[in-house]
Amino acid sequence: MKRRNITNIALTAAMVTGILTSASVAMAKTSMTTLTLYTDGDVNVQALWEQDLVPVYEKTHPNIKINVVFDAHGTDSGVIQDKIVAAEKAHKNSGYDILDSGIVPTLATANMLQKLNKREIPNISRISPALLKQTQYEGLPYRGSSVVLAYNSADVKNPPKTLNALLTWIKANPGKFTYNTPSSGGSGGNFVMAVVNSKVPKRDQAELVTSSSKALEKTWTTGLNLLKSLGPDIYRKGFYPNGNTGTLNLLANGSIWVAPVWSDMALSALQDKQLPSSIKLLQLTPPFAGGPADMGVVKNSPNKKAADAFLNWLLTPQAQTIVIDKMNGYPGIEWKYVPKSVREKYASIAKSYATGWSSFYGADLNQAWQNTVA
Amino acid sequence: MVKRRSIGFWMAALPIAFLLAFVGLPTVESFLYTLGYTGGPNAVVSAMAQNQVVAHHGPTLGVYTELFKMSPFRSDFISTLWVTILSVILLLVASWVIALYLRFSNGLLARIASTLYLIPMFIPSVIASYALVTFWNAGGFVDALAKHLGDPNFPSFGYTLFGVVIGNVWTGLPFSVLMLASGLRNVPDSLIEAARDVGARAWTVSLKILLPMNTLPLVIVTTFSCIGVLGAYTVPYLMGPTAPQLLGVAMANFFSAYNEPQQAEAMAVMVFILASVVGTWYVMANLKLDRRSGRI
Repeated sequence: MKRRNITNIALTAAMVTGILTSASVAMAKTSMTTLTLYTDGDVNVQALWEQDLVPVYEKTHPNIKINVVFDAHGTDSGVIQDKIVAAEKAHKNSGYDILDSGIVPTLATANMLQKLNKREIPNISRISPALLKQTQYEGLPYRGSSVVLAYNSADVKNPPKTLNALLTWIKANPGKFTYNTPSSGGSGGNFVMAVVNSKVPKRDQAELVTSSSKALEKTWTTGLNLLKSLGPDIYRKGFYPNGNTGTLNLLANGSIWVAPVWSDMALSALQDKQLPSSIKLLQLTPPFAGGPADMGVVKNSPNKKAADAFLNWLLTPQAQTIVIDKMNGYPGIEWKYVPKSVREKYASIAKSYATGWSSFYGADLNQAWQNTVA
Repeated sequence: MVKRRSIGFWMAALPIAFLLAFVGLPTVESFLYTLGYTGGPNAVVSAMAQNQVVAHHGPTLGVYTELFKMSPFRSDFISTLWVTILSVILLLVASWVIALYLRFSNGLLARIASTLYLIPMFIPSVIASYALVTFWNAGGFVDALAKHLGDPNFPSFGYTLFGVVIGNVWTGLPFSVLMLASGLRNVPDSLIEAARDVGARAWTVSLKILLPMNTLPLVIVTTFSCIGVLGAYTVPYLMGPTAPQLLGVAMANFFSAYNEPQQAEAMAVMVFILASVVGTWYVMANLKLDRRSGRI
């Protein structure tokens, strides 16, 4: 009797679990969505997605699977960009749903990405509209970083706090300042942009953020000549290192005292003791431009709804706190929406940054600098 | 006979078809793009590119003339030429001397040298360039040594075009010594001894016997290093100055940082033309040698 009972119970249990598992399998089959996310950059970006953000999201959204395609340093980003453009022209699915890459602003200029709006992504209202306008609402700046001024407090007691003061400082301290070539990294690029922009008539400055017209580039001459005149007072009478890291190396070994650097790179280097603790960061007034990291949804993605929901989640305080902590970066949403404790922790840099130029002018400025200043 | 010939043809057909599809077609496509054809297979790349020259009535050389109108590009181009020529000359001289030394001495030092010269082959050029730049740079070893010896104005070669030349010689050395040394080993001792018996000095032996008997390895070394240096990227990127930049670096900048793939591809065509001039010389030299030895 007893034994039969047990077998009965076992049988029913087996049946019930069997039914349940098959049911859950069936459920999963019908509603499981796989999102393919293309991301490039350094290993810190890879860790941010694979170890921090995606696991958290998948846990709370069991019917979503995110397939992260990581491309170290964006070596294949050109190919991915071509693939997406080709798929868009042929009205086919490119295989990618979400992009987190430098190609997003470029694709946005050519109107190759989905327009993002408040209806599908309510949290978008927490982002500064100026940043969204830069990509015509096709890129979602989910995190950012700003160029700030790094100085060695052991040698520089009164660091310059405005751009003009910085230019005066450079002339007064020959050989103790440099910036990397704009084409090899944004910290030098944004310094160049700030100097050139400061000499552009006010009414044209806004145009440079959004438009793309060759005629406007005439306004750059004064700024570029100013940069050229700095040449003799730059480190080794005009040496510009290649890459953002090149500048950090020179700061670390004491060759230079002041340089524009990316806030996130410098903070990480300070944490890892790759920069001596005497290096301090400050933001000029008005600030240097920042670099928002834009995400985009591919136009012909079959999973737009799931992609939008994911992007909306990325803008929640929970996800943004992860982003700030892991990347030493700026949030995508405005600082006032970030939890107070996080805001206080990053008080020294928790300010907004200026909006950089459109990628069209960015590319042309790289070349103009190479042709006139280098 | 006919049958055997056709087997050979079909065996070669597969790799040739492969090359045509994956190398030939894209090359033709890019070449047409530089002539202003932005449609067809170039539609994707031209959709995103900036400052393009578009052909309206037949092909246009606009991209090329625009490039040469820019004085920074002209100096990039000229620098690439002289850096290539100087690198190859220095490389030939250095490796000829090393190869001669390896051929004629048997001491311990020569045996050590015969393995030492291969080292650059096993060091990735990124690491090597970085090491060379720190070594030659201001504040580096050479600079410090010169200061100690009382020369405070010794030029530091880090981030100069001459630094690029040093890097090119360093990375090219193993291959060219290997080629020249094996060529020299094929010269029979009896020939050299005969010359010495009639009173020829080392200099004469080297110029009148060894050099003419090693034309082919010399031609190979010259052409291969020429072509390698022309399109080099890593060494000039890491060791070169901000301006002028060599064509390899300029191409990469135009392609991505300036978003001007058409201009970058036009430079690639120029490098290709320069390389094919050198390549033609290589083929001609080969033919001449074959004819002399009666093979054709």
